[in-house]
Amino acid sequence: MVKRTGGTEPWRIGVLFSRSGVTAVIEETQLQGTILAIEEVNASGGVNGREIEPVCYDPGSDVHAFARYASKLLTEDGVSSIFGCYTSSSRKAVVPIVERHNGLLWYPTLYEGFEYSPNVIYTGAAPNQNIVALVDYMLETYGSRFYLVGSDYIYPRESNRIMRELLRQRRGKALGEHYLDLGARRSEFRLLMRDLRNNRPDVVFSTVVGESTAFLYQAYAEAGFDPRTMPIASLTTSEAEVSLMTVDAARGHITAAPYFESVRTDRNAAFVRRYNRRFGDDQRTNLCVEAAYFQIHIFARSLAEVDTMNPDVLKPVVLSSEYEAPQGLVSIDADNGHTSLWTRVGRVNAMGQFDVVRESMLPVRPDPYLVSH
Amino acid sequence: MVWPPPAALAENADVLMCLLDSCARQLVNAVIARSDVAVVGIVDPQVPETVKSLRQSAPHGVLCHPVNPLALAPSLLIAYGNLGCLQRQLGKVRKLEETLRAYKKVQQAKAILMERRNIGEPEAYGFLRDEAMRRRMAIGAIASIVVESHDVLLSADDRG
Repeated sequence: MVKRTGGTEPWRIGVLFSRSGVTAVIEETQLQGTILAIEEVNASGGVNGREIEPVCYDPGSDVHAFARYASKLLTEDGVSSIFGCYTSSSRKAVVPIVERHNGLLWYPTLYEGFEYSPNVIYTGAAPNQNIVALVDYMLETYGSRFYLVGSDYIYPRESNRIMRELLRQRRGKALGEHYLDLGARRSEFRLLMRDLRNNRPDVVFSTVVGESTAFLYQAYAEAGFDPRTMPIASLTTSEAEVSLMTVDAARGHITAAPYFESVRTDRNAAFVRRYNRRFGDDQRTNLCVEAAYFQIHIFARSLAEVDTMNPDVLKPVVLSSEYEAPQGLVSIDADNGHTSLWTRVGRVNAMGQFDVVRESMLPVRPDPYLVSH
Repeated sequence: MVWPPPAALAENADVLMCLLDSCARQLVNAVIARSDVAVVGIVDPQVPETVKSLRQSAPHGVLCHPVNPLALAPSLLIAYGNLGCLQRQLGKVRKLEETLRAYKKVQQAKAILMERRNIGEPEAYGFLRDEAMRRRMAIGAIASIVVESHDVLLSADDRG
């Protein structure tokens, strides 16, 4: 049952990113990446002559609101593709809803893997595309004794489970594991510093996300630790989180990601220029902005081909499609709905940007189940 | 419209609407087991066996006898919706089961490589990954080859 609507009516899509609450800092940038791409598509004539019209809600970093709005989008607003979600808890709340209503969730965030849904397109990194390269780089460069710290929810706990496994295989060691509330205060991070002083790890692996990320790095700097001998290694501390701290607190620390604003491709230079023109020169792009941005373009191209939003028709075209993204050529894996992405390791420099210290030669295929480890 | 109910449904059928009495039980159960045809069961409150059969055969939609023509479209719609949802979930389970099998094969293959070549886990995995990339095959498929050829060699050794 392919429904071809034709005409000039806009293509309506759902957009769910928090503009308030603990993860608004990063989700707002994802919203901006989404908006920029939509405006680009519309400026070039839309999709088959019809504009893309986003229906945006602010779930306020609240998991239940994500579920509520997803349901509203699919049942009341007549939308079938939803672009959104940052935390794994919000994704886990939305997935059963898109599965029930046969919608498509486009998820532009790195996550812990171990998931497959016929109704989700995953455009952020799976663990084999970031954490494996991060562990190897840290072991070679800094040492084998890791201390794991994270926010207390699914993603950090699962990532640390993977990290322990990877360390075990590589004869590294996890000295301690420490979790803080998503909304943890500055003082709680000072307590953590005492534990770091006692343990003296070679690497602090952080899966602290959201606003409190800055408290971690700031507390670390105030404690007088040296990132040259005990850096914080992260998968989530992007340009957005760095912009919330002083450059001195961020400098020298390490993040692994498919994309940094500093990536040297022509596509990226143009992308950053347009992003700044649209949202201001003080705005930094980051891995989540980029994924939010390129997934709209992949969606628009696929839509142009089939001319229908029906997920049963649209999804087969999306799967195995390729796109020249700011990070480089990416492609959606037909097998698992995740994306082949570039693997990069970056170190924060004096400008608050990431110097890429390691980079894959080619895009890395997603292996969300780490079948291979 | 067919009576009595045939033993099997036409190959190209999309939907089966059927009174859930004892004559139809075999057909309804066979069709529901296929999960590719939407089944709308018809119950007759006057015939208790049809009501009982509704629970047992679990069709995708339901109508009451005598059938109100206005109820046809909504019950078809819900039956199609339920069938689609079921198919997606079945597809998901199938994919997860495949992944689980591949995972097990990779674990077995890694153990074999580690023992035969006296190497560590990361090296054994690296070998499988590189071979998979070189031959453009899934890593689970390469692992299966390693496990199977190992089994063949073992049984050859036993015979020899």
